[in-house]
Amino acid sequence: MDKTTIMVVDDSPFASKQIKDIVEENGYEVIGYAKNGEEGIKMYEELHPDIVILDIIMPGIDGLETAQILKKNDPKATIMMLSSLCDAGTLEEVRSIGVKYLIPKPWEDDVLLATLELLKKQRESQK
Amino acid sequence: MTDMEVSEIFDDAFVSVTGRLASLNLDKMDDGIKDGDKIIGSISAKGKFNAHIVCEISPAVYEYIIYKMTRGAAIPAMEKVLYINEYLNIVCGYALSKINNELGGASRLTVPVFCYDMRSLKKEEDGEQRVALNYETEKGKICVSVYY
Repeated sequence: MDKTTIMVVDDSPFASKQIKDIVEENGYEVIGYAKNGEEGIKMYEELHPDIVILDIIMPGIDGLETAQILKKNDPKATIMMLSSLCDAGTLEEVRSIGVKYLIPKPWEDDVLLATLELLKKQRESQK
Repeated sequence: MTDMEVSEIFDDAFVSVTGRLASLNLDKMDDGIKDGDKIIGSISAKGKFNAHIVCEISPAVYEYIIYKMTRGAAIPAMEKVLYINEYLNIVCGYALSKINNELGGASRLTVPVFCYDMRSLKKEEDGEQRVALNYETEKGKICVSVYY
């Protein structure tokens, strides 16, 4: 069975490396990293990952705007957002874009993995 | 928000996140870092809560936080600043999330900036309030000023 593919969009090498380590130990494959929103939008078109893990606070286009563009270009894009900013207003904003999950930084690995599993099942049920 | 509330929220954020990311205990102290060796980071909150947060770190603490975040892996000097930016982003995001929930409105953080020259970062403005938090750790000092 093919592995679920993931693209990470985060300007922090700390987050990117931690995500790679934890998800690859658990059967996912990270197929691309982008350091900002612009790069992430281009990379998505090339790689078509199953799931995008997207940071909110980034230089240039932030994660919220990036998610909006990704969803506009591909309404089926499956996105999980990560941020140190996890208040009720930010969560509402994330949901208004059509993204269900916002994981707080620093994250708990089991929360990250459980959320990925939910997204994976959601994608499979849409096929 | 009162000075006391802002102080408590940022104190909780620095103590909790530094403990979690770098396994460093922060003990409050009265004095800031005297002139000399220090690395200075800055990040701003914009929106319902407007603030400018300046964080001064002893070089040994700076290196230690990065060491713990990379789990001891060697990284190029130029990449170090990206790790410390993420540290400041996570600490201040943690604090701002609580403030946003308290105030019932959205504020966003800018991308952090680190440098060696305080003058390029912050000029106090008239009428601005300032909360200062000074910490001692086993590796050196962390001093935080929140202007809002």
